[in-house]
This record gives sequence, structure tokens and C-alpha cells, in this order.
Amino acid sequence: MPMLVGALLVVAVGALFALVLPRRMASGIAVLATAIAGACLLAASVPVALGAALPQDFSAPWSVPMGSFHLGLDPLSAWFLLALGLIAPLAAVHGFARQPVRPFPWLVLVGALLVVFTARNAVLFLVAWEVVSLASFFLVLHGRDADAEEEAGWTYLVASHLSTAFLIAALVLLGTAGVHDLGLAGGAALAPGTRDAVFLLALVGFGTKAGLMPFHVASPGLYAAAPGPVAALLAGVASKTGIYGLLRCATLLGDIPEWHGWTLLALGLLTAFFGAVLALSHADLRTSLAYSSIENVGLVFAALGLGSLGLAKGNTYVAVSGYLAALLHALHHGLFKGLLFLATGSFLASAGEGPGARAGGWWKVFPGVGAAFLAGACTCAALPPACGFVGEFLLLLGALEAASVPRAGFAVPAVLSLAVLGLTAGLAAANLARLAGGTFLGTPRAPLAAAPVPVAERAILGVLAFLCLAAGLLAPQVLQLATLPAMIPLASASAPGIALAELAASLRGVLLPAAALLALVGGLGLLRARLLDGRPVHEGPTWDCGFAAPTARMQYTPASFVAPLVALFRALHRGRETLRPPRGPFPARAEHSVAGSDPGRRFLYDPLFRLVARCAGRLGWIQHGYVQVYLLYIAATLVVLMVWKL
Amino acid sequence: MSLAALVHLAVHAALVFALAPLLQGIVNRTKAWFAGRRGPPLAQPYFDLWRLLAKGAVYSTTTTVVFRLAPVVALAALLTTGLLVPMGGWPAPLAFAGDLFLVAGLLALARFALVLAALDTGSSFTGMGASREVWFAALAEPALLVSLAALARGLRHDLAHDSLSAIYGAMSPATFTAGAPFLLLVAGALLLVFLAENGRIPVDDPNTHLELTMIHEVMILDHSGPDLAFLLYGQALKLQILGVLLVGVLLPVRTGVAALDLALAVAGLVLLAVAVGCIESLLARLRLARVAQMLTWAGALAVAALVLEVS
Repeated sequence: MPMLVGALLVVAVGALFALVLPRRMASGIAVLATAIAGACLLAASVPVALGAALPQDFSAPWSVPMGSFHLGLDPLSAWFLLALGLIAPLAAVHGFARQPVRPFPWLVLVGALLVVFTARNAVLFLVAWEVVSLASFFLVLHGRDADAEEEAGWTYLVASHLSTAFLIAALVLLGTAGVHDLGLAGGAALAPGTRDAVFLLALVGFGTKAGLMPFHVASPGLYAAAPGPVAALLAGVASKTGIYGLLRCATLLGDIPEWHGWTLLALGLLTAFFGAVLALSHADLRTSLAYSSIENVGLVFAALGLGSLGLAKGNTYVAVSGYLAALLHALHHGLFKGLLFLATGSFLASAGEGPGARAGGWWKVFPGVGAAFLAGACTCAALPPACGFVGEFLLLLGALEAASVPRAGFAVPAVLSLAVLGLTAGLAAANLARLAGGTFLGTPRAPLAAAPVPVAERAILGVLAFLCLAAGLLAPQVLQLATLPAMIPLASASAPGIALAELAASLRGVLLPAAALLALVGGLGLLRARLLDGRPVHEGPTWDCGFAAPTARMQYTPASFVAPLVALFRALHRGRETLRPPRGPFPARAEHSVAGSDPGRRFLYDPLFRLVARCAGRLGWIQHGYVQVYLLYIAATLVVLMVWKL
Repeated sequence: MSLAALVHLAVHAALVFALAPLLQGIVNRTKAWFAGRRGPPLAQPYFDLWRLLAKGAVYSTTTTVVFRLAPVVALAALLTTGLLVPMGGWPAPLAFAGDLFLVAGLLALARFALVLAALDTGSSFTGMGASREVWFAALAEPALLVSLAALARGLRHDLAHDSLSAIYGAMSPATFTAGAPFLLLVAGALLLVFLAENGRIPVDDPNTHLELTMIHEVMILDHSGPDLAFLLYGQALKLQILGVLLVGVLLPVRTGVAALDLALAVAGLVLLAVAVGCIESLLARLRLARVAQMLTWAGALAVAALVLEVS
């Protein structure tokens, strides 16, 4: 605990300095403070997550009504702090030098995330939650593309306040039911009505933050507008506060009925699939990565749903595999999406935001960044043996088991889940091949001019790429942690140890083929080098079926690469398509483009907010701008209240 | 690893890795017979591989290290997959509960490597092939997953705890008489996935000389020498890996004697290769847009099989 409080103090002191010092020094302070805080966080959370240290509490007096400054560090908190402690320092060291990251809001965001993951008091939690929103808002407004940032920032601010409103209601309900300690394990005895209301409110509140459809509208814009390190922290760690919150809630609510699980599973699968489709239909690198984050959040929610369903149906294997998939994928997504956003940040900081960045063929200029992005893309596409595969593997195992239980009533939905998961994985792989290939491979379509990428940035990317592979290979060890059952709400499951052992055995089964794969890659690579040694190896133009002078304009563009899939799901993503096909015997200029749009925003939120604006307009007559009238309102309200209370 | 396990690994690897090109030879021979020609010798694919392995290489100046690494990664992934897939009743040397998802993942890894190499050449043709590849793969993946799940569910009821080897080992003539419609639906779905993933007619014509219509072949246009040998051998392995999954369903005889089971699986594969030759000679290629429909059908068959089994 002293380490945790120390981290908080370091961040707070750093933030004060960052506020008063000039920008350059403030940036240095921010990097230093984030690095120290990250080290403290890892030192505090790793022993608790490993079970080497007992859960701890810290309380300090706080003069807020109903509030107490009560922090707790149990295995679940420690697990999510691990992501924060890993990614925040790496992102800070990576990004402050060349990217527009504001030091003060950055440190505030890191501190607030720390408190969100550890707060045990409802008021403290809500305050920290609100601070996360505000700090993210200020981090996004950094002046690169003011209009887009303002739009993204305001949408996010509105959405996160709606989320906070739902959470206040949920926590007030919990408070009136007597639950004051958020770290309470084993479930509180709640009336079914209260429990369901808390679940729905928490689902909307936490789902909005995480990016669950249909409450996701703010997240993609936010990640796309933010500079690389901020996007890495927001998509990698901050969006996981929603998942943390729901896991915490599931522990608090105790026995959960089946329909909670169905709701989570359905929304999760919907989010995963739509996220993958929308990621394909958006051309911009950052926006596409942002929708890929939505997809991954959907996978985590589907896993949570499967876990709750297994619990409700009494199938421990399904419950354990679902919850474990959610837990592991939440951390792993932070790693690989952090890598992807940081690599994108490095790339765009060097290549500039202009059309040159979309020219393709950047590998020859930035081989290091390209390799890092490719590693992230492979991990994100859930290819074995990197860590993106682990969560998907556990989730599929759970769905397969659910599909196989005779007459348990969740076979058909489990089959559909398998199909949706397979389709989503295929679409995600197509999209990541497009992003990696379209940005780094092929012939450049414009002259490439760039500033070099500093060694420090490349080193950070290398560390993250290594972590992506290591986390995949270490997953069986993670499943053997004695603290795992304490991280997931398994109070009512029978013998979770057996299911855990079975899943660990399955993951260990992956290790030997993974080792064989790595050995074969090495062996075949050596064989290839031996075979080509001393033989004629020529370089020439791309063959292109006998046409020896192909130009950059003849190659497949990223948009044409995904065009068949984008056309297949046209009815779902509703992108605005511009098509001018070549006509006549002497065709002139032709073009085809799809401008991605978000159907959730276009068909749900825009009409909704227009309606709100219209209703609010109708109430305009209350406002006159005369102070006397407002005083009259106040007096009238007081009189009404007095009469009511008499 | 015990000695028995090592022997098992050696026999499996030797057989699977040595047999793969032969199947392509059989397919080509069958097609030649239909066309009234004598055709190349059965061992021609081996000669081709040997010839390519003995050559130098030509690389496009556009390409990067990704292009050079891709054949190695793709072949390594497919060789590993070969160690995970049982030969009918003969179990795979690396078997564990849930290995079917690793098989799907490794096939995806091989495909991802090839697609990136194709995009690396900057050629319009390879780009087009890669685009079609990911298009069809996205539709074939759910069909493969659901049909394997359906199969597992139909044979055993605790399938998440089972490996592919256990699932395929549990097949018997009795399972066929008990659930013929269901198994036929699964086999239908697997056949469509098999044809699509291997780029055979009616999805793609491996012998075509018109690049505009090709998928798999066009993706590897720029590779040469040992790289091309790796890729062609990988294709042969893929044909065998997906083929043995199909044959295991259609030939549900398990003798209990390992050598006999293995021989049966090999015989089934040879028959499948002949059948592929017949399909290639008798059918025409589908229009591209129809291929998407065909793969949707494969998915629908697999879901129908599972629903039939569940209800």
C-alpha cells in the first residue's frame, strides 16, 4: 500500500510542478513522475496479483459528505493496475518528446485512473471517474486539427456525463441497499429489483466508457483525435475502467440471473462484429484502429456475458473460461493496442499528417516502426502465438463447451457466437492486413519525406512488441495464479479449480506447437539462407505479369483491398459511397471511395439529440434574461419546497 | 517426451510431410485423364519442388524483408498445423483439448503472411489476389469453426475437453448410421471450405493462365526459387490438412490398429484427390460474387448441422 499511495503522491506533486513550470520542463517532470509512479504501481500490484502479498487497504479522512478516501488493493484492482503501470510509463517516455501531449492533464489522468481502479468509496470513485473524463477531454484538445478535436472532445464529454449520471444512480441504489464498500466480495444480499436496476444502470454507465454498442459513439472519435500516447492510454487502459467496473459490479451483485448474461453476450457480439465492419469501412488509420478497439471491447463483453451465463446455468467451465477470457483480453488488448497506437504516433510524428502519410511504402523509410506495427497487427488479428490469440482462444473454448452441453438451453446461441467470433476474426485480420500493408508496404504513391524516428521511441515499441509475444507464451502460468478466483466473480461456482486446471492444460497445449512454430521459422529461415548462399540473387522490377513498368498508381490501394468486404456489409456500415466507373471506349478519370460513417451516431444519437434540442427550444420562454424574473423563480421554488415539507 | 511419443511424431511427420505433394500429382493426373492426355508423372510436384529449391531467386526492388520472410512463416505455420491434425483414426502427435482453434489460428497466420507478401510487391495483380483471399477467408473461417464444433458435438458431448484426435478417433460406422443427415451436412460444409481454402474449382482454377481470375496463384506471382518452393509445398500441405479433416468424416471406419487406420486415411486422401480432379474437370469456375454466396452456404450448412444435432 505505501507504494500505491507513493505513486499517487508522485503523480500529484508532478502535476503541481507541471502546472507552473514552462512546457518543456513540465514535459520532463511528467515523464519522470509517470515513470516513477509506474514503477511504484508495478511494485505494489505485482505481488498482490501473484498472491505473494495480501490485499491491502488505505483510509484517510476526507471531509466530503458520504465520502471517505478509502483505497483498496485486491487482486482484481492489482490486475488492472498492472496495465496502467506498464502502459502509462512506456507511453509517456515514448510520446512527450515529439507529440502534443499536455503534461498536466496527462498526470491527472494517470492519477485518476489509479484511484478509479482502487477506490472503495462510492463518492471517491465517482469523483475520480469524473476527473478521468475531464482530463481526457483536455488531452484531446491539443490543437492539431482543432475542429475534429473539438467535435470529438465535446461528444466524449457529453457521453461521459451521461455515463456518470447512470453510475451515480447505480451507486446511490447500492448505497441505499447498504453497500458502502465497493471492495465487498462475495455479493451483497440485494432485492431482485434493486439488483436488476443496478445492473442495467451499470451496464449503460460502464458500457459508455468502454465503448459498448450502442453507447459507443464517443470512443472512436476520441481515440482517433488523440495523439499516439494519449490514444494508447485511453484505448488501452482508460476504456478498461468500464470492464473493471462491470467485474466489480458482478462481484457485488452476487447471484446473477441468466438474462444479465444474455444481455452482455448479445451486446458484446454485436459490438465485436459491428466494430470489425466499421473498422473496415473507415479509411483513416487512427479511426480504423479506434473501431478495432471497439471490436475488442465487444469481445471482452461477450466473454463477460458467457461467463455470467455459465455461472447462472451452473456450468463452471463456461463461467471460468468466459471470465478469464475477459480478464486476460482486457490486459492484452492494452498491450497490443498500446503498441499499435504508439507506432502510429511515431509514424505520423515523423511522416506528418499530410497526404504523404497515406502514400504507402513507408517500410523502407521506417523499418523499425513498420516491424513494430506489423507485430501489433499480428497480435491484434489474434494470430498465434502472440497474446491476442489467448483471449480469443479461451472465449472460443467457452463457447464450444456451451454449444456442447446437451439440453442446457444455450447451445444455439453458443453456435451463433462461434460463427460471429469466426467472422469477426476474419474481418479483423483483413483490416489489419490492409492497415499494415497499405501504410508500410508496396510502392509509395507520393514522394516520402520524413524526420527520423528517435531510438528511444523505437526501443519502447520493441519492448511492447516483446511483451505482446511474452504475454502470449506466459498465459498458462497466469492461469495457475492462486489469486485468479478472487479476480472473477466465482462465489457461486462449484469447483472452479478443475475448470482452471483444464483451461491451463489447453493453454499449455498451445506452447509446444508455438515452440515448434518458432523453431521451424528459425530453421526454415536458415535453410533458405543456405540454399540462396552463392546462388544468383537478382533484383528487378515487380514482375506484374510481364508488364515491366508498373507505376504506383497501378497497384491495389488499401481501399480497393477491402472493397469487396466493404461492399458486402454496405447495409450495415452505411458508408457514403462515391462511384464514378470508367465509361465509354476512351474512359477518362474514374473514382471510387467510401467515406465511413457510424450508423449508431447517424441513426440513433443525432436524431435523439436533435429531439432534445427541439424540446429544450420549446422551453425557451422560461428564459427572459431579466434578473428579477430569475429571483422570482428562486422565491417560487423555495415557497413550493416549504409548502411541500410543511 | 517418451520414446513412443517421439516415434509417433517421427512417423506422423514423415508421412504427412512426404505425402502432401503426391496428392497434387494425383489431382493433375486425374484431370489429364479427363482431358484425354497422359499427363505428368505422379511425382511431378516433387520434381518441381526439387527444381525450385536448386534455383537462385529474383526479388522486386519494391519488396522488403516482409516479402522474404513470408514464405518461411507461412510454411512453418502449415508444418505445425500438420502436426496437430489427426490422420483419420491415427492421432496427431501434438494433440490437446481445443486444438481445433489453434489449427484455425495457424491457417490464419499462414494466410496473413502471404497476404502481406502480396501487398509488398506493389503489383495490381497480387493486390487483387490478396484482396480476394481475405474476402473469402473471412467467410470461410466461421464455416470451418462451426462445422468442426458440430462434428465434435455430434460425436462426443464434452468437446471443449477434447482434441481433434479424440473427436476423429471416436468416429465409427455406427455414428454414420445414427446421424447420417447431420454428418453429411458437416461433410458438405467442410467440402466447400476445403475447395475454397485450397483455391480449387469452382472457386479458383489453379491451372489458369489468366491472372485476372486467379486468387491463390496470383498472390505468389512474384516469388521465385526456394521461396516459391516453400509456398508450393505449403499449398500441398494445406490441401492435405483440410482434406484429411474431410476424409475423416466421410470414411468413418476405425479398426483400432494404428497402422491400418493410417493406411485407411491415406487411401481416403487418394480418393479425395481423385474426386477433386473429377470436380475440376466437370465443373466450371463460379463468378466471383457467387463464391461469397457459396461460402455463406457452407456456413449455413454447418449451422444447420449443429442445430440439427442440438435439437
